[in-house]
Amino acid sequence: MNSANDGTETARFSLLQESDRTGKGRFYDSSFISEYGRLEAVRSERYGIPFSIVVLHVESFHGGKVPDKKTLIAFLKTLVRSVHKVIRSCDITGILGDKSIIILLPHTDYFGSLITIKKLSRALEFLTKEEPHASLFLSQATFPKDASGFGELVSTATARISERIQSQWEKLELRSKLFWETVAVLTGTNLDQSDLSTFDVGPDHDLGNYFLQRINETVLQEIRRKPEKKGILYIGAKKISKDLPIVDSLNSLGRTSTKIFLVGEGRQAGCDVKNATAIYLADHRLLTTYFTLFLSEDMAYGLICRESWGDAHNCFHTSDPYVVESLITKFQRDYTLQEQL
Amino acid sequence: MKDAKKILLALKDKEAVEEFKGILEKGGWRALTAQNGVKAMETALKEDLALIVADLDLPLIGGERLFRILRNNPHTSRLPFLFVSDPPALEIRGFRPGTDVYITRPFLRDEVYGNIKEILLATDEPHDDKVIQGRLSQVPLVDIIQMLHMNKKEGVLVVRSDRGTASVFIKEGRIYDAKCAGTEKEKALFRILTWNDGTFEFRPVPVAVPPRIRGTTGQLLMEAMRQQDEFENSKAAFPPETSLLKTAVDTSKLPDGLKPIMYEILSLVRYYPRVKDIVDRSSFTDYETYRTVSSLLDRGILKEVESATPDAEGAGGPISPTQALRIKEKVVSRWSDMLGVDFGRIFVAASSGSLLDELLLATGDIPGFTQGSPSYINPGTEEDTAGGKAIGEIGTLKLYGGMDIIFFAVPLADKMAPLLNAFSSNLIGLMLLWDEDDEDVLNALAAIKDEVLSRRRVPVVHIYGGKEQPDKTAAKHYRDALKMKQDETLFSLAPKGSVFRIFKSYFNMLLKEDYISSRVSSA
Repeated sequence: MNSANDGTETARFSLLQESDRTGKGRFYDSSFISEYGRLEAVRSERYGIPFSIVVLHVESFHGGKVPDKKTLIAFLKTLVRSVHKVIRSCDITGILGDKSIIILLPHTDYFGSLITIKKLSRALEFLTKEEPHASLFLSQATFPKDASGFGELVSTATARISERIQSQWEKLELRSKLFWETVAVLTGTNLDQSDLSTFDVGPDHDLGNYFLQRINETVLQEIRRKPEKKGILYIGAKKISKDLPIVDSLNSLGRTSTKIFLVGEGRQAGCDVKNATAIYLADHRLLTTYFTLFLSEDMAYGLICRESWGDAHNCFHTSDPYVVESLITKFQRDYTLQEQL
Repeated sequence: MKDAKKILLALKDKEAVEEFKGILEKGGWRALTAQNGVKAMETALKEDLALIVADLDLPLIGGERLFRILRNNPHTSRLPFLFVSDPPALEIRGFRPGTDVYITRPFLRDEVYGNIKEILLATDEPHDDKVIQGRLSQVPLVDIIQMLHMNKKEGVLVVRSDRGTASVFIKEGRIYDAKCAGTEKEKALFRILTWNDGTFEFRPVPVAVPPRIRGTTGQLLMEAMRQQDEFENSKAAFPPETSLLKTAVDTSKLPDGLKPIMYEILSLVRYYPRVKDIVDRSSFTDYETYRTVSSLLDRGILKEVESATPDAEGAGGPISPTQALRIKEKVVSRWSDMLGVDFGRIFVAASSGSLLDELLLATGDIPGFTQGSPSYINPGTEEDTAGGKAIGEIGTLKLYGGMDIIFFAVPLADKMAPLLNAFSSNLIGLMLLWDEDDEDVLNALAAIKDEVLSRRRVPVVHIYGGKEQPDKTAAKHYRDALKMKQDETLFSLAPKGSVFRIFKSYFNMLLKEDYISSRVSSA
């Protein structure tokens, strides 16, 4: 996990070194974490209960410069306090390396770790806005979903940090943008990556508009295959009506552990949608946009299509769980919906 | 150095090789080298090695995979490993503490030297003891074990019969563990003790396994004999091993506090309906398992679905029930969530909708196959004929043992990589289907193949769907365009009935090779 500034003297800093001065017992050292994590993995395997880790990475400070020792120690102390305010008493926090902190979350599944990340992001937001303006990244990994042992789990989480730092999401500076601003940037940029790309659908393109309908059906098929898996699905259907094929499919879906929301423009209509919560929002932008945002323990898929010319749509889709989760969070925040995963 | 012990240095880094060579010279050992896993495996099989020093992230075949392959080979199963990796230390499945050693960089030369010396000392067979061997028809196994117990012997008792090879680990005369064809502990021991024919061989070697069987040797032998007698007496009341079972009640409503064996059997029945498979996979002894299955049948908690004869079991399907179970186990073992895996997915990329329909029509003859919703493309619309744009489940093949093979159509369009990634959970194969010599179509199929294989190692089936088989020139063109390997077969949908052969070949590929990697490379 090399920082862009690692080559310069000024950019070097070590949480590992400074952590000694934050007071004994606040952060465990890496050998303790390694041993505890190994045991937690054994316990988790034995009792079939998942556990997760969250890695908090301090990539750099304002202007790529490292603050003086005093500021750095004060920053670390604030970081420790803020982290400890958010986590549970059973969670274990330790130093992972020069720039990273690891939090072990016993008895916590994938969604539980995402909620911890949400809380941490909110609690640490002020550190990114105030001196020394730290650039923070958070990632998670869940056992046994992401790894067969503790070492592999840590590698997965740290690799995700590296990917996040290099991601288009960061390059396009989407972190601080609102939902519709983000949608505008993503659908208006030419992207061609294995986990994030843009394309067009419509009469003169490779894919017809049936693609948008089929995607929702396919996602529902996935939910039907594993109804016990936790998940969250937002479907933006422009206008909700009982004639929509997706309404029929939702009505016949049956009980699942996935929270499903059908979003449409306008006031509440007399349309009965079973197995999903209908959300009516007075925003004309919804009338020109289809979206499907699905996040589950097994997969992530996000598709957003905005009307362009005639019957054609500019679309982007992603399989990056971080992007899908961020879009869901932005949508919930911007419309002051209940924040949930 | 003529009689010096040979140690293989399977290290990717030349500096590390030189460093280890220095350590080995100090001990008077002979160093052999291999820069990748394939070379290391060749050397391990060819040479009489005393130890392998291996990097965990060796090229071609990783250190852990090399370890597992050599452990499963009877000639190299006892070869000790010294693993080297960068921190953090990873867990290695099957790691034998006391035999294998794991060190992380940086390390001290003296420490490594000490480790190697200890490993070699521990694996040195004592030459003063002689191997005891004979036939079970002359000396029953119970007598052998009693004799070893009385003399407080230490070593491994290897038993071979037409039912397989088994090992009993004995230390100071006490039975520590037993292994027999996938079973272990008391279950394996009690099973071996019913064998009346075959050979035995006692190897007096140090036993490094921890004690996993409780009870004294006398108690174990008495209990084994009791269970054997009970089994013989009750055999007629037990269901035949080919019977197929299913649960007759909602198991979630059963009272709490039932015996653990009952929960285990009810859970096994969900995945393995055949009695023989339940007995083989249960962690309890064969007699206890049969008795509990019988009791659950009597109480109406389980019911017999049908009794299949071995000949009839596999009739009609492209694979036998045993192969189906092996496929299921292989798929399950690649994903951590065992209960969540009851299906495998095959991506189907076709150049036209009509070709996809043709494949489905042909596949319809295969027993257990059901076609998916016909609305996977909009009938009667432009998309119906636009071809190759179907998305989602188009059919399901039900395998014995409760595993579904889902055929999942993926669209032939640009920039679909996120879609492929998102829906690739439980992916076990890719089918490419085309019927025209169109460069764009072949390029799109090749792009899908590249994308899928860059994430997961799965078998790829290449099917030409033209009315007749392609001629030599066309076949070469297709092979080149789709970057087919020499050992990959170019199948054809013609003549009628070929699809059965295609499926058979696909399942064989899936079983033979180490296909299906577990995780998407952390995207």
